[in-house]
Order: sequence, then structure tokens, then C-alpha cells
Amino acid sequence: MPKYIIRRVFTSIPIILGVLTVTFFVINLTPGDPLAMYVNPEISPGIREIMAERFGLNDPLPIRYFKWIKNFLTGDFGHSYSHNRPVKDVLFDAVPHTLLLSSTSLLLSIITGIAIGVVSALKKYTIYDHLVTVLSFFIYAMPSFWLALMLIIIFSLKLRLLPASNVRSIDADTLTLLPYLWNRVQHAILPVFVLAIGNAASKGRYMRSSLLEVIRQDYIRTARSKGLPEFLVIWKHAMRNALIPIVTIAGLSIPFLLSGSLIVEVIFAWPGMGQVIINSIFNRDYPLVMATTFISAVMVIFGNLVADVFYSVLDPRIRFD
Amino acid sequence: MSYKTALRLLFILLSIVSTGCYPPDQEESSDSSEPSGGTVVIAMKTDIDNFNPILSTLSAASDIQGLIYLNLLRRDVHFKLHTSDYRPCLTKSWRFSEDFLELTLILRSDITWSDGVPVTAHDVKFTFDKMTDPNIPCSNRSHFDLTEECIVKGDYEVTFRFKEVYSNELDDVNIITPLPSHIFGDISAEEFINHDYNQNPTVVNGHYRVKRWERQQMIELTQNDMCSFQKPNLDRIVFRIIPDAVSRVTNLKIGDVDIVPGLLPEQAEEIKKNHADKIQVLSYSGMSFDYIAWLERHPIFSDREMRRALTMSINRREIVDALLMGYGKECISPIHPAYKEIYHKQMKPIPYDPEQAKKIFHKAGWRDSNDDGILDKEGEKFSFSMKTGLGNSRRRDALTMIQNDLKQVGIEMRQDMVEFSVMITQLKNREYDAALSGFRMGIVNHPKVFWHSSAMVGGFNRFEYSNPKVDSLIDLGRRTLDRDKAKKIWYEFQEILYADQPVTFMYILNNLDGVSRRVKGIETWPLGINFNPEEWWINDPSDN
Repeated sequence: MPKYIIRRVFTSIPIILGVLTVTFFVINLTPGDPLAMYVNPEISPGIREIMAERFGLNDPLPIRYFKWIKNFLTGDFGHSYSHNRPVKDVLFDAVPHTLLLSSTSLLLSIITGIAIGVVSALKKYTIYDHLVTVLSFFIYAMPSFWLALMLIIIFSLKLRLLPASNVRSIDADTLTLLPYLWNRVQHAILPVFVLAIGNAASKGRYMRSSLLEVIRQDYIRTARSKGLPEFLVIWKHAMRNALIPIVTIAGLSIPFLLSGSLIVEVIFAWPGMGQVIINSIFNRDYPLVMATTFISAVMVIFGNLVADVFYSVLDPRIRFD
Repeated sequence: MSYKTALRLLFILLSIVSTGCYPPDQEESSDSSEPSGGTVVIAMKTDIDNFNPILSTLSAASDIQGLIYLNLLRRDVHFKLHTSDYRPCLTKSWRFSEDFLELTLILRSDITWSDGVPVTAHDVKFTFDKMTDPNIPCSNRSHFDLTEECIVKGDYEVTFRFKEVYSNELDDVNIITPLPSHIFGDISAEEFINHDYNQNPTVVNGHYRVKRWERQQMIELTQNDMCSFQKPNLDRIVFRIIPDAVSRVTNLKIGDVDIVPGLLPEQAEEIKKNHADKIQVLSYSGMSFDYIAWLERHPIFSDREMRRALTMSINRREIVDALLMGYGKECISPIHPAYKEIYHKQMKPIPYDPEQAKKIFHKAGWRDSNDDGILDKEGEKFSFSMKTGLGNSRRRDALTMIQNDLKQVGIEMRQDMVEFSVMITQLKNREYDAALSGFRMGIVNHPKVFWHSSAMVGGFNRFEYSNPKVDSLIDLGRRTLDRDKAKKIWYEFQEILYADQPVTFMYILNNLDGVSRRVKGIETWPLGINFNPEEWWINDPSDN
């Protein structure tokens, strides 16, 4: 297994370099001025040119590419044009916020998704199953920005139970630990819920069909016929195999841990990666685009690797040698 | 009486009733001594990049700089043209030399930085040197193109010598916001740009100081106890970063935010309708206007009669009424009405007159010879594209209204919406026919970067308007100190632009700010609500 992992890591290096090279040229050849913000009647002429020189934008594209690769390989992501500070610092500020939001909601969506799926598979074709099916499709089809706004209207504006945005209250840092944590939780409830619920609904559907498939198998009948209690049959024998598709989906969700969600972050004023990524693209902030692309590429490859490794944990027949 | 007028009357009535609800004696007593204390939270769309007035480029940053730094002089609410519109601040008095080539400022000697070090002429000189350093990207540098040098005459006396006499000498000198030279010391441009102070201004001289800055979340200012001026009423001013417009207003409604600058017209209407008891909407003429640039080298737009007829074809009034919901007015000239002395008061908007426009097009040879509803001439259709930036819903909707208006007179206009950063490049490279664009006028009237033919390269004359008379009027107006003469020059300038229509002036937007009724004493000016934050106070019994 360790050999397999090492091999996978090594083969992913050329993939990542390829992704970065393509992204570099695509974003640089896309029309648009990364220094558009300096083109403004209130800003003295000539400032754009000074900034272009400072950011090395006057060099020919291939030279910029090699400079960038060289810096990148030494761990230097460069200087963000739009934030006017090192890319590293921009990412360090944004990642914790996104990680908090996305990991909580991912975890929540997996747990509730599995629970919903299992129950509706076991109670197949009952009222409960139909209700969950209809609800899942309803929630899954709902645009997250609309859901977010509705929740804000209900819970913030009308009921005044939860704050409408930001990660904490202005004076939260003057509170003692427990009230402080509660303040953070209150601010996180709505965004986490919006992110989790759509995913939970889809994961529930996968779980349901996968479990239904498995409990028809011969070994489940065998387990039942040797007199095992039903819950053991389900949890010990059926679930292990039924979880494989969920693991694949969860593995593919890992990139989302660091890429964040633009819509939810903007609506809830959550200063995470989603906002950083989209603004970097609109502002043609090349160094920041490259850095976020790198992170995404690594996360996609890592997510796939994690999923593959988990397969062998769940199903000992799967071996990587 | 239309439904809309009735609704408006109702608002007026409601606002009278609601202001009448306050016990009059309480209003009066609070006028004599405004209660101090409390916090005001202002919503902000984006975070700033740094606090250093020399280096920052964002207007949000200048609002904060106005609170933590003192200016040399204070501008009055009313813009005029000349120097008497200033009140002392760091500067006690000022005088011009007889030939107006020198301006001497006498600074107050009792003002200190928050670490106790006095604010002196050396700070002014240091700041001037950094602003004019060719290696420092100071966005205000061109204000000193005509300044020869800055001489320290004593600890509290500083003289500026100019290359030539011009009318904005004092305006330009007042762009300098002195920085504490003792914090920086004798450093290079590169060290100045990367100095920690830019992110963490520990030593300031304004009414407030930066208590903390949490990136992308909030900036908290608290009273600067060492400020030599009268204490401000508010303990704290907090800027909260909320990118989404709907979220900003929601926060205002639930009371987590007190001020939301830059409401959309529909948000303003909704607040007035449903939340007038808690929130007031401040609506006043701002500094931003939209215009249509006609590229002069384009065969259709090279003739001024054609441009005038195009202006006539567009119902600007309707756009103000329907799209801006009345929060704006038709624009006539590039000089803002706030510049009371030079704004041409006799000029009226070119009337919306599609019939007259059709006649002009007809005279120029444009007929609908094949009955397809579109004018043509020598086999060419009267057809062009109009660009505007994506992401600005106002201009997007205005573009559609303009398209309909032009269709009525037989012109095919194709909408071309592009990303903002792409549009900038395309305008610069003249890759367009016409463009709906906008611009925010600064505190100093600067027509040169738009209308002078020299501004075609490097400036904003991207429509390639060139009129030697206008060029000479701009140069002359800038040099003329006599108020009456200056007025005549700028009047003539506006009349020529009106006749030439290098662009179609669309509308000046109102600033729309949502303000919680607990915040009192806000005085607005065309630049926004940042005129007198130190005088704001809170009227909220539950607050103290």
C-alpha cells in the first residue's frame, strides 16, 4: 500500500505541472487588463506603468512563465495584484474560514445523507420513503442562493434568531470562551446548513439505491438465514459494500474543502476561498489564479487517492499492488 | 395624480409624521449638547489594501484615512472654485505670494501625533517628497505636475513654489495628508512601499485611530485620545465588510449595521415603504455620471450634428424616472452642479425629440430605402454596437432602453457586454463603436484628462474628441485666478461641449445611503456621508 501511494504521488507531479502550464497561458492570453483598477481619472497617469513594472508584467509571456515556475518551485507564489500583498498571506487568511465551513458541512452532509439513505432503503416504498424522496428532489433542485436568502429572511429578519452574515459579531472577542464559541456557531449555522442540505439530499439518494442493491445479494440472505439480528446484518455486512459509492463521492468532494462556495460565501460575507478565487479571475490577478489552481489540482488528486485507499479498507478484496 | 406621485406624497407625509413623533423638547436639548459615546457600524463592499494615503487606490480607504489623519485644510460642504472655501485644520493660515507662484502655509504648533511628537512642516515635506518620488506609485502624483518644490521655512512653516500660476494651487497642496516622518525616517522608495506602518498605522493624528483590522471582515476605529482637536462624539466607528448588496441591507434592517452607503434605487424604495420607522434614506446628488462615448473616428459619429441627433433620439428623462426611480437627474455638462460658480446654469438638457432626430438623419442621407425599419445610406445599414461592462445592472438595463429608443428612429444598435477589465483594454485600443460608461468626479475639477486632445494618449479621451478651442479654454481656465473671468471661460467650455456632443451625457446619480435613525447629525456632501463623522452622535435610549 505505501508503495502504491508513493507511486500515485509521483505520477501526479507531471499532471499538476501540466494543469498549471495550461492555466498560466490560458489566463494570460484571455483579454483583460490585470491593472484595470489603476485606469481611473482619479489616479495619475503613469501609475499603471509603474505597477506593471513592479509586477513584472512588461516581460514577454514565456519569460514570465519561466520566472513564475522558478519562483513556484522555490515555494514563492508571488504577489497578488488586486490585494497588493503576498499571495501566501491572502491564502492564509482565507483557508481557515473556508475549511471550517466546508469541513463541517461536508461531515454533516455525509452523516445525514447516509442516515436518510439507510432509513429510506430499509423502509422502501413506505410513506416515509416517498416523503424523503420528494423532499430530497425538492431540496436538491433548489438554488443555494435562493435557499440562503429565504433562510436569512426567516431566521434573521423575521425571527431574529440568527445573524445574517459574517463569521462573528463585532465584539465577540471580548466574550469569554463559551459565549465566544456560541457566537461563532450562531454565525455558522445558516451557511453550513445551506451548503450541507443539498449535498445531504444527493448523498441520501446514492445511499438508498446502493443499499437496496446490496441487500438483495446472496451473502445478505446467508447472513439472515444463519440467524444474525437484522441490525448486525445491515451494519456489519450490507453497509460495508453499500458505502463504496458514497466514499467515491465524498472523495470527489475533498477539493471543495479548500475551494469553498462562492455564492454562500458572498451572501454570508464569509471571507473564504470562494470569494478569493472568483475575484482573482475577474481581476485577472494572475499569481492568485495560479495559486488557487494549484491548490485545486492538488486537492482533486488527493481526493481521488483518499477514495481509492478507502475502498481497500471497506472491501478487502480491493488491493493495490 | 398618478399612482407614483401619490405614493411619493404618502412617503413625504409619512416622513413628516415620523419625524413629528419625536418629542420636540428632546430634539432641542440634544441639539445643545449631543450625547457622546456609542458605536456606529458602516457596511463596506470590499476591504481596503492599506491605510497609507500615498499608496492606496481605493475610495473606501480614503473614507478611513479621513478619520485617522488630519488634512492641511478642511474643505467646505459647498464646492466653489477658489481658495476661500477652506477652513483651517492643521494649517492655521496661508498666504500666496504677489505673483501667486508661491504658497506659504503656517501650521498650528499645538498638534501632535498620537505618540506625542508634534506635527511639523517636516512631515509635510516628507509626504510631498514621497508623493512625487517617481518610484512610488502614488495615485495623486499628477496633482504636483505644476509644483516646482516644497521648502521647509521653519518647524511650522512650509512654502510651495509653482512652475506656473494656476487656479487649483491650494486644492492640489491640500491633497497632501501629512504622514509621521519620524516613524519612517530616511528610507528608500522600496522600503516605504513595504513598511509595516502601511498595514498597521500605529501613530496617527486624526480623531480616530485603528484599533484592529481583520482582513475581509472589519476595521475598527476608536477615539484617538491624543487628538488635539475637539473630541468626537462617537467612541467607535466600525467598518464591516459585506460584499453582497442584499446582505448589507438585511444587516441594516436587523440593526447589526447602522449605515449602508450606495443603496440601489429599488432598495431605497423598499426601505422607505417598509422600514421608514427605523431607517432613513439619504438621497442627494453624487459625483458619478454615466455617458455614451461615440468614437469619433467611426464614420457615423464623426459629424457633431449626427451626435446631437443621437442624443435627441435617447429618452434620458425616462431612464432617470424608470430605471433610477427618480434618484438622479439628466446630465448636461461634465462640470458637476456642485461647482456652483462655474456650472452653467442656463443650459437645459437637449430635448428628447425623435422626430427632429429623424429629420437630421434624413438630411445626412440616411433613408430606409428597403423598408426593413432600419435607415441605410449607400448600401450601408445605420448599425453599430454599444459596449458596456458586465456586472453593472444599471448600465445593462439602460443599454436596453437606449436600444429601444434608437430602434424607434430606425437605428440598429447591438448590445455588447464585456467584462470590466476587458472593456478597459478595448476602450484604450479603440476596439468599439460606442460605449456606455461612467465616471466619478473628484474633489478637484479636472476637465483636462477627458476633453483635452492631449488626453487621447494616456488620458480618458478615448472617444478622440479634438477641438482646439476647447483645448485652449481648458488651459486658460486652469490658469485663470479671477473668478469672473474663470466663470466666463468655463461657461464657454460647457457651451461648446453642449454643441459638439463628443459624448451623450446621460444622468448624474444620486448617492443613496441607508442610515439607522439612531445615528444623528450626519451632514452629506456630493462625495458621500464622510463630511463630518466626528460630529455624528447616537440617539438611542437603549444604547447608554
